[in-house]
Amino acid sequence: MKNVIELENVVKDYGDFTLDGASFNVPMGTVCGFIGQNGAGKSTTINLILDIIKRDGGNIRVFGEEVADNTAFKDKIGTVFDEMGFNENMTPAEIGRMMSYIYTQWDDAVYRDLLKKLSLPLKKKCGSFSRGMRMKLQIAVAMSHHAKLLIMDEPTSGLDPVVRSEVLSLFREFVMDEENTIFLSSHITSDLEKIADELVFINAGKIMLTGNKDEILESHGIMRCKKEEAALIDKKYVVSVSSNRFGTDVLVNNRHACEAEYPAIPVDVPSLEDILVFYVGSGGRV
Amino acid sequence: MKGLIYKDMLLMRSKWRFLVITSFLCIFVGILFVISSKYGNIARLSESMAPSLETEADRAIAASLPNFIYYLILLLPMAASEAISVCFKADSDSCFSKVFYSVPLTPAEKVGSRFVTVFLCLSVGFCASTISAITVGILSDSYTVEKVLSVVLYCFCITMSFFSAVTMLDFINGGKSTEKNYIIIFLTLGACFIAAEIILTNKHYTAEMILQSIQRAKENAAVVRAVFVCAAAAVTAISYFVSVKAVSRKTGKL
Repeated sequence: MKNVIELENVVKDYGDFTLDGASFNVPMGTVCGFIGQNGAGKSTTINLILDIIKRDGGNIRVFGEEVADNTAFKDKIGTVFDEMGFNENMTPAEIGRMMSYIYTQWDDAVYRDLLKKLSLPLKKKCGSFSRGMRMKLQIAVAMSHHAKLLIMDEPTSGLDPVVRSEVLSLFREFVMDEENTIFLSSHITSDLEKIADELVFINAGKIMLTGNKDEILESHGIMRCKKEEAALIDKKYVVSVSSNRFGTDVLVNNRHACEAEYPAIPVDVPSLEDILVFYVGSGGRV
Repeated sequence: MKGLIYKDMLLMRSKWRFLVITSFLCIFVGILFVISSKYGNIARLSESMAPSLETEADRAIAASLPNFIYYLILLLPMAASEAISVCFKADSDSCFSKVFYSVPLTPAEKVGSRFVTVFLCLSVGFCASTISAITVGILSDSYTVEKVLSVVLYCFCITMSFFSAVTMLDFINGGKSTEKNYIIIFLTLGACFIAAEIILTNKHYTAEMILQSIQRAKENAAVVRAVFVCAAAAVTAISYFVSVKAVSRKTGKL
């Protein structure tokens, strides 16, 4: 499968935070969820992919092209950030006109159709918009120039469930076209469970896990056991251990092997949130 | 590039009332000046004071009384420049920087659009004020069209240089601290002025000598104009290239 985004050993050092050798690929036609805590390095990675900030090392290719000092590839990308970025005195109609001068493939009919679909007024100043409306406006702008890739930083954070569901269905529609790809960061794992095909876990600037969502969920398991039993589990399977007064939970990376080797210990299927919490708890160990 | 200029023009809309009030103020001051120079105090002062004054300096001051109308030339461009500063502030307040860096435009196009906005704003302001100043000059018989145009040229060079430097600082700071940029420029200009004062005082320059220097400058007006234009072009070009470099640098402090 062709990769739309390729990162190889990417480094960005801020002094107090370092993105440490990030490597992963995003295949074409997929929705790739980028999961991590706040401050894990999601926005830094997105800014590096968009060549908004300069990297200190490694390679980044989008659509097979090196991104450094390359502006042409941005014409095929739609972006959504956690903050709207448009001036509050501008109306959606004016924003659309501004973007029509910037993007070569801008389609005003698509834009107006999306605004209608998302119940956004055309001639109202966006300063009066709620957070949900602002996010929807950004999404409408990102999807109106026939972009082949949507890169979104926390697009669903702070949205109510109804708006979130609306937005997610728009994303699903977008990837109906197999040439379209979505890369979205989020710490809301339930959204990614619904929509993502691929996942990239990041914690403290390190990529901890990448792969197909179903395979990740299928391969991982939580072994519910006693502390003594946990100590017997082969270390090659153990991702992280969490103990409390009721017992010990062990996240393992090969559920089927563990079920076969330790039949006495029950193994549960984890959610993405469980996996995130355990990986963060492991302190960077993969 | 056109998109960013369009956005800047939209942002300036919030200042339209201010621009209209300033325009009316200019027209009002111009009418007062015409009436006063024909029938009022300015006419009487110009006629009676100049011959009775003893020193050349006093006579020069008396003769320059009508020149206060030159402030009219600066009034509208200053109002336009207020609109420019609105653009800087609005971008900073709306966190436009991420959108700015993610659109498919080269750093030269991004920077160029802001410089075009500055140039357009100042040009419109100066055109309006030049027309009003020439009209007032003709009606009051106070000064010639050539004199007005000469002052306009000097003022345009100074304001273009000033706003080029402000724009440069804005790009260097990543669109933040708009007020700080103005303070830096004013402090720099203040320091230059004080340094010039100290140098002139140390060389025992008197008011007469300064007036003589001004007289020499008036005699070589073409050379002075050329120096002003070249200096403004140099400051604008340097500010543009430094801004492009700053936008390309991408420090990551967004």
